[in-house]
Amino acid sequence: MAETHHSDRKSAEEARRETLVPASDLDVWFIQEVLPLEADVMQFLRRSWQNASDVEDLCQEVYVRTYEAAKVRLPRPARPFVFTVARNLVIDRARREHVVPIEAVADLEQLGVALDAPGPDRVVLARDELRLLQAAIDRLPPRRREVVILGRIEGLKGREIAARLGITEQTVGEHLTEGIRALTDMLLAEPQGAEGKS
Amino acid sequence: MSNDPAASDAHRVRTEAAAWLQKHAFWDWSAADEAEFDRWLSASPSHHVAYLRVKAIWERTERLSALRRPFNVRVVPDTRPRKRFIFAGIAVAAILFGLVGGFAVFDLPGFGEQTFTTAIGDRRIITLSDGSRIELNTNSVLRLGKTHRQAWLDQGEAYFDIVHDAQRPFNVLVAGKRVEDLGTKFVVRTETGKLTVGLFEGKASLKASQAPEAAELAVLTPGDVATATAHGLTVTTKTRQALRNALSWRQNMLVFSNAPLPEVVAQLNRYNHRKVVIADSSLAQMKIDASIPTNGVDAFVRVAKNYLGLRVETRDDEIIISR
Repeated sequence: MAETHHSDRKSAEEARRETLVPASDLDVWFIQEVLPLEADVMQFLRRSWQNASDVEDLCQEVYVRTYEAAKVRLPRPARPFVFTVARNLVIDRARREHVVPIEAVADLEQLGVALDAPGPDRVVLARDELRLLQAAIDRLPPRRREVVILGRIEGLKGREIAARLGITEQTVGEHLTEGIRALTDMLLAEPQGAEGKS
Repeated sequence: MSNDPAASDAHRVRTEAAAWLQKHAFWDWSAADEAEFDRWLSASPSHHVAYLRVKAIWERTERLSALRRPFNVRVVPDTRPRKRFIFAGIAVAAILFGLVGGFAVFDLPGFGEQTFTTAIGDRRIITLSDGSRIELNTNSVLRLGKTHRQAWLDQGEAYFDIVHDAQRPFNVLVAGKRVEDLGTKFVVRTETGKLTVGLFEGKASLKASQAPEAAELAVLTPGDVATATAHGLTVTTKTRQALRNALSWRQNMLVFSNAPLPEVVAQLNRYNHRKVVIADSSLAQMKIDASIPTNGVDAFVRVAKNYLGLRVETRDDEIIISR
């Protein structure tokens, strides 16, 4: 089953991505196959690493290592590969910083294997996707939400948003930056469905 | 550990990525910005993946435009679109009548031409050598000339995002007419007896025939939608929102605002093998707001049943709805 599904997806993707000059397959692969794993990667890192404030950094490092390694050959399926990278990173760091007892690392290796299995029911309908987006927007602080809505839903430019809200352009820029940052974190924190691949 | 410089590094890099993205999307973007951005992007793989991450999610939020009233179905009074100018002249009508649906003599297959097709429900992105992009919608046929500056849309719909070159304008030959880009993003759709050209950015010229010396029917500016039928040519100016809705298929969505039910059904049917049939002429008056995934026949049918209170009957590959 998993085999069939995988090869179907690959051929559909190839068909859609017909290019005359090679597009960046690596970027597409990263966006479509690695990013959707973020919720699980973060969960894995939180469980495996004591200090929560390091987790964002670890996640970013997992991405960098994954991306660099994939330059040679795209690992498919991506999931076991990404979790191997994450596990090795945690072990490296633990050894280097002498913060995690060896027992924990051993546990971790087992945990890593267990997490390679895909979770249950990953299909998110487009309607649910919309609800998800709405919920993420709603979680922004009021002013930031207003700026993001004017920019993304109403389609206003930065200057127009500043004029409409009577705030400086610099403030608009800061709200947009932080808004984009927060939406990215929130949306990738949700388990991903078939959405990004369709 | 919390003052580990590496930990703050990821946060800083991701914030920088978001800052670049919003700068590009919302503010003036100069060649100097582009150069500085390129430098930043290539400075470290961490920058690169951080940018891919915010960009991918930001593109996903594009469909937020559909959020205004998802599945909020209401019956609305008939309103006519604002018409900017109308070519009602007999001469124009005659030209169009002669040309719509047929292909002019200039439509000769060239050497090195490539053909791209999509099946029902499929989409395809074609990247040209100069960075221009063409997105081919469901059930479409497009031929691309060897020089990459000319395309024939033989069937269906395509979105063009063309890198402008004053020396070599990009031409789309479609339904007996020519669309010449003057630096632009536009969408072209051809159906039996009807050609629609919508302009999003820049400028484009619509010519009466495919001949190089053809008369200019209209110059389109952003927001303009030209519709040519046997009865003539209409150019209406649409809101940014309406235009964005018209392109929501690029995110696999169909977004309607104040649309007659038959129009919604006709659009949905373009993307699906299972066709919805309206078996009740009184339903033609019903107008709805809706956002539906392009493959959302089942979702649509549920809405028709539960929200609109319509009768639904499934017969082979057809779904028949009536009051």
